[in-house]
Amino acid sequence: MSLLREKILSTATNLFQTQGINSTGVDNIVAVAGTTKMTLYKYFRTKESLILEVLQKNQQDFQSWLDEKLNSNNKKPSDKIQQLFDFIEEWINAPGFIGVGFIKASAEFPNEENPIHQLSSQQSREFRQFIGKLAADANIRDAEGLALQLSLLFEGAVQAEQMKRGSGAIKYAKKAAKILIDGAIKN
Amino acid sequence: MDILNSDWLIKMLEKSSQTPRGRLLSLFDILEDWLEAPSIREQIAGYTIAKQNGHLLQDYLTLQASKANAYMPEMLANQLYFMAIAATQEKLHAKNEKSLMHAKNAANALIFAQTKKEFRITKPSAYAIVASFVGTMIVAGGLFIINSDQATRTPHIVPAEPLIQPVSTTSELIASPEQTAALIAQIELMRHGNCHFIEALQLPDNIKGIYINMVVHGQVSTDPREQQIAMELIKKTRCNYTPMLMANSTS
Repeated sequence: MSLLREKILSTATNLFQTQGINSTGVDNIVAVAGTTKMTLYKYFRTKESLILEVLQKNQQDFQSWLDEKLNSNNKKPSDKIQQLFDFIEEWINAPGFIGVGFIKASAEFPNEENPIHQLSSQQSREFRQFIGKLAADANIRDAEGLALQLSLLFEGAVQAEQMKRGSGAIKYAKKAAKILIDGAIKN
Repeated sequence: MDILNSDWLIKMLEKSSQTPRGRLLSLFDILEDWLEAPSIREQIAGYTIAKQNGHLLQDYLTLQASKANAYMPEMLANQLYFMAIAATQEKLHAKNEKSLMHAKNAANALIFAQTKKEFRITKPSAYAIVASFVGTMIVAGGLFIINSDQATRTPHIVPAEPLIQPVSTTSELIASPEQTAALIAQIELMRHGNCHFIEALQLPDNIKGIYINMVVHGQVSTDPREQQIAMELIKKTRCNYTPMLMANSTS
């Protein structure tokens, strides 16, 4: 990937999360990235394709980081599901956290026909499936149900955190997740 | 259609339960019933169920969370609000029929995590400890009169060791289950003995309140600081665990 393309992507990521996707114009992105509209359109055909790529990259980065955390030290499947919210909390409390792309995009693009809404819905589903797999590996009977409960807690906490940085929402979501996971493991 | 911020929903929530916790959880039941009503789903297909800037429901949930003694009512309200939106959309668009039920379960756990939980000891046990405490107070009253008489004649009074050691600060708002269990076990043990703690009379009111509520009445709070104080007080309480019959037979 060219350095300029990477610069445009990271600038757009920051601006979308801090100012909102709809509120961030192409003019703003090129000004902050120190490039021109022509260059931006050379790499990204439209603003929509730029948004889609930002979403994909954000989710890939987060998922890779989480996989690495969960797969370190040969954890048992039950440990992985138990520690999931510890890592999510670590990620949200890190100084560089600026939000979750698919949650923000889903709220800003509610129309189901919109490709941005479709991608954010798909990413939300995939993340829930990922939690569902962790739950199934830990022999939890209603893995799908638990995955939905945990993903709702996750999304609720992230949105509360996006409204007010340092809200502590993830701390209580983690406590609630532990209650749900402990209950599901016993059943 | 901004159903989440409608007067209709607030009225439904208001009459749904006698308790604030019940009203918070009813949000998910009411939305479930509403989505099951004839032709509703067709009407709202393609529309969002809440405007970005609607605050009616969030304000109502904040009030209920506050009444339910949530540690951070506004934050809890926001989380429940977003969970309700996500679960409703899941039911509408992904056709997941159980989404609101699962959201209610998750909300219940979240409310539990955000509110204080008290563990109570049975009434007979509490009465026994209260009786012991009241008896102790009468004896202590007498001792206080004797001691005050002696104090006027004693030239040097050695300062007593502080009754309560400074409590280390902790970022945790809820005590661990192990810590709570240890405290309850200690209080349960005291029920089997004849315990006296006359210094309780001289405690500051807030500390005395913790002693009376937690040790005497057995209303164990989950606040780690209060638990630590209660444990310190228990250490200073003198208990005789000799069975009453055995004690009488030896005298």
